[in-house]
Amino acid sequence: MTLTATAGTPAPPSRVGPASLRRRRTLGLAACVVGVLLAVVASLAFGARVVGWDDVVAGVLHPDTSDIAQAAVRSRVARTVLGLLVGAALGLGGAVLQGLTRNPLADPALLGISSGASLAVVLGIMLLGLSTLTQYVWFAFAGATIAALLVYAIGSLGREGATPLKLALAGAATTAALGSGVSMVLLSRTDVLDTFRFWQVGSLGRASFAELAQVAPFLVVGAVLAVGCARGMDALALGDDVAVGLGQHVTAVRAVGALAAVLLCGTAVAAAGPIGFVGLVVPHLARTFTGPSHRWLLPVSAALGAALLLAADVVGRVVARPQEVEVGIVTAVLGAPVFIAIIRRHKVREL
Amino acid sequence: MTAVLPAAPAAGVVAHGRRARARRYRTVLAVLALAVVAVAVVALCVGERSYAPSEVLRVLLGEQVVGASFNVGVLRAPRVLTGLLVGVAFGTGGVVFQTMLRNPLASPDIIGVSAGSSAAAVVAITAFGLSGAALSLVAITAGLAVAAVIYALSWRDGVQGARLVLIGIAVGAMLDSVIGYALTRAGVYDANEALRWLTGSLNSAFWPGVGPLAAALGVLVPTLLVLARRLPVLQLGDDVAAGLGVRPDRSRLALLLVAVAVIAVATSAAGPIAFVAFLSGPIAHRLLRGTGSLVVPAGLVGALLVLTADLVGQHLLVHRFPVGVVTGVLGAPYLLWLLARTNRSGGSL
Amino acid sequence: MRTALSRRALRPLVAATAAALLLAACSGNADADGGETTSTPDADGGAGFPVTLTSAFGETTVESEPTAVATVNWGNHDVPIALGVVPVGFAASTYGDDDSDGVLPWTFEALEELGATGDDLPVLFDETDGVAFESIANTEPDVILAAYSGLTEEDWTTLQQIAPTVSWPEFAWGTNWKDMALVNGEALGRKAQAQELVDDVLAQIEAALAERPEVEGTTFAYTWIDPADPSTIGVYTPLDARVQLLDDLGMTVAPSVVELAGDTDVFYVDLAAEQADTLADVDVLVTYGDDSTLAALQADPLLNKIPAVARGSVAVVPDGTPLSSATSGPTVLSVPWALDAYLDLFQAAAAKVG
Repeated sequence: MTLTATAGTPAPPSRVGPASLRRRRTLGLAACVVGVLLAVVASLAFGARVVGWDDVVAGVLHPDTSDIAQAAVRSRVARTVLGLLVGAALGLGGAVLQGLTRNPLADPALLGISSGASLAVVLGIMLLGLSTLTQYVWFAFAGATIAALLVYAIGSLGREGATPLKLALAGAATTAALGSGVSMVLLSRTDVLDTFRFWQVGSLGRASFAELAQVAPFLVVGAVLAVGCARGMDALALGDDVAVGLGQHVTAVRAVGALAAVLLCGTAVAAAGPIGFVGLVVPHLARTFTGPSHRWLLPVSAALGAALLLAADVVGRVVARPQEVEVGIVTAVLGAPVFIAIIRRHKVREL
Repeated sequence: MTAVLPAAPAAGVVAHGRRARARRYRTVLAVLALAVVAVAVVALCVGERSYAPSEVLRVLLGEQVVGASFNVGVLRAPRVLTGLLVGVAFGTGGVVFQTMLRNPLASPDIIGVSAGSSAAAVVAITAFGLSGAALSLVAITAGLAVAAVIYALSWRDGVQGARLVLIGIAVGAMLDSVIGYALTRAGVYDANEALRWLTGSLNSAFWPGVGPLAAALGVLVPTLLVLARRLPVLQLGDDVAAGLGVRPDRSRLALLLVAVAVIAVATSAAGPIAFVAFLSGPIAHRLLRGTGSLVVPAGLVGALLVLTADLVGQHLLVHRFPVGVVTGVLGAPYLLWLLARTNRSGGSL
Repeated sequence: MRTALSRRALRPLVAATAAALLLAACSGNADADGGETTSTPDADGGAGFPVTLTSAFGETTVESEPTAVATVNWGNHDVPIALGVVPVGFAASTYGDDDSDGVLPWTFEALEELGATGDDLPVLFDETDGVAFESIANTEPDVILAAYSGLTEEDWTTLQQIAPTVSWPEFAWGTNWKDMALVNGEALGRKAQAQELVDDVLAQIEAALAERPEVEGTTFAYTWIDPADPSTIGVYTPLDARVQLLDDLGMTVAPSVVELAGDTDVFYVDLAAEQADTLADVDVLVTYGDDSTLAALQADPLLNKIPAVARGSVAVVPDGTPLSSATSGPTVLSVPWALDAYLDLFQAAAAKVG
């Protein structure tokens, strides 16, 4: 069987010419950029507090922080930047994971990366009494890395290397195992449960510029590595043998790509908690107008991820005033139907 | 992939080989059944206070035995029975999903069916304080409804396995976020209770719940076994199946419906005990080495897993952990090992 | 259904354990009888029985004065212990336990006074997988106390088969420390002593308040702010036990909190930090944290819009310590234990109110 479906399969002989494809890609990229800009404006303007446009402008440019409306806008700036970074990281990371594993289901959550971060954070809270984001970051990152390495190591044993099925199975098994470890801690330590259940839902409310500075370098390195192996992933999509024939070093592409994905997804989880569906949905959406070429797919996925995550966060901030709904919940509730629509539209080869 | 598929009947098999395989199948079944009985007996006898099998037997025959009548008669017996029933349910339901969708990943706990019951139950616990029969009813209804939605969304000139799995995973992830939301909005004690339920626990298994559970599964599991006879034909592909007089879509729908009901009923009684639906099929497959139908053996493996894990969780660890923690923590490394082993040898599961 | 003779049927080891427990219970009683705590049953003694109590699930009748008392869930054991009765078993604590022995410090001190520590320590029930029915049954109690608990009806029905079980009267986890003492005390046939106990604690509170006149009458909001995510403020509603305790300590829930809570039956509601000025009428903001919390709150551009935060009238309850568990699920023993340290927090905070 193959898990290969829409992801990474070479473009079917298309009826549209290359010129049309280029126009679609350019238009798509432009739409994404406009989308990001709109999302940024919305993210600054709308929140749990209703503020006037003059306060929005003042809050961003030269806030009078004794005024709560302008302070609210000011606080949305860091949140917006975090949303952009995390959204782009998840979109890019998801695209890399899907390209690398030729697996349409590849998502940080499905490949065990989020659950590795979760278990590490829980252990940190339990053993060391961690309570702030700066402390969580390193644990989440270490957990994500270890889980990703474990999944990849197990998934790539054997002659044919890391096949989609083996990776997906290893990821699901790791996720379940780590999830049980998390429950084991939480059930016997009520105080840890009390802290962790809030971390467990992804949120952008944690943003501060100090922490942004802490996570940004990881994201930049991850993004550079991801773009660097775009050509290699294009070749991988044609199958390992073809890729070798095309002069690609398959193992090297996989290793660099995996490192990029871990950096991107692990850092995103560390900075905002587990946010599902962005990494899964965004590459699928992007592929509808970029086609399978990773040189287009990667940047568009990054832009689309940033726009969608911000938009989801804005929705969460305004639907339940004076409460806020965490972005992780919104992405799942909004992302799942989009994902389902994509699946229904595509011809999925039988598993 | 061939992970949990019964081997297709090869043409020209010598009668001797067939007899040997049938013998092996019967032996494995018998050993599994004996193991289930043995673990059940141990679970009845052993505890903070242990009783001789003769005492346990007297209790089960309705005699009043001081101490044992409560510990065995009121607590352990319904607990063991519930464990047995939900184990069989998760095992059979899981393997039917995996076989029909031709993918070991497509167990109900991965593709969103269990998540429907779980999300409804968590909301019922944290927002409405439900328990017992009312909680079960909500969980069953939601499990069936979510499965129906997944099926309906997967329908497009028939239901394809891949699409069903993908949509199931999407729906499952959506429901997981509902669970996360409910947990953050709950008081810490309710959150604790909900988490225990989410992990899967037999600590709320009492006699009043066993009757309905046994009745429901007593109808559903045999139905599933009968329907599952069509599985090998369905494996041959829709055209062949239609040629053999089986209507593939209708058969698949019936199988899915009953399998979902089995899973939902079991989940409502003990929570979605982690990994049992996922693991039972592959384990049974390894034991049988691809001989005969996997449904009954997977049911027995499921029962064995649940009962053993509950024994371990209750008595062998630092805390009295719910059964789902144990099946998850012990089951996952087994699956990883299984993967590593089969990957190394280059075979499939 | 179960009698003292049942031990004959058990293996020697188990019998020895049970005997030791029984001894522990007896010695506790004996010790208490000679002690100064109120320890004998109500004046009418055995005549006070049977006692019938009504809980959310139905009636519970205790036929005669219980000698073996088991308790489940949070803090119920403190009531019999305060009344001089050492329980045969109670639930191990997993919240705010300083030394991870499953017994919170005020309980331990009281048990020490009753000579019931070390080898004589009651059985600790492990509630990781819910109520530990079998362990409870093995302690052979005459009564099971759970006035402050989250028992389900099925739990209660099963416990009733072990011994008469007193459950929560109105809301799961919604019984305040006074009612917890009175309901549990009544089941022991010691309602009058329980009332005395409550009165005594209230008198201690009054004395402690007299030394800290600033505290009386201040308005407050009891909050939980995740240090990793200051964008949301969790506000405990007037239904929560810790809020009701502050009410007993002479303080008043701020009107904004009452309005925010509305008529929900939940224990806390969320408030986005962007709406922090909703809490403008709060004199003292109460929250969990450590030494760095106040500075962090004041540095936050939104949270410092709460006047209480800006002027520093914030009471920070040290998170995950016995003090936080003593006051989040208060009992007749934990309140006196925590009283001075707790009120000191509020005195310091109230002093900063203009």
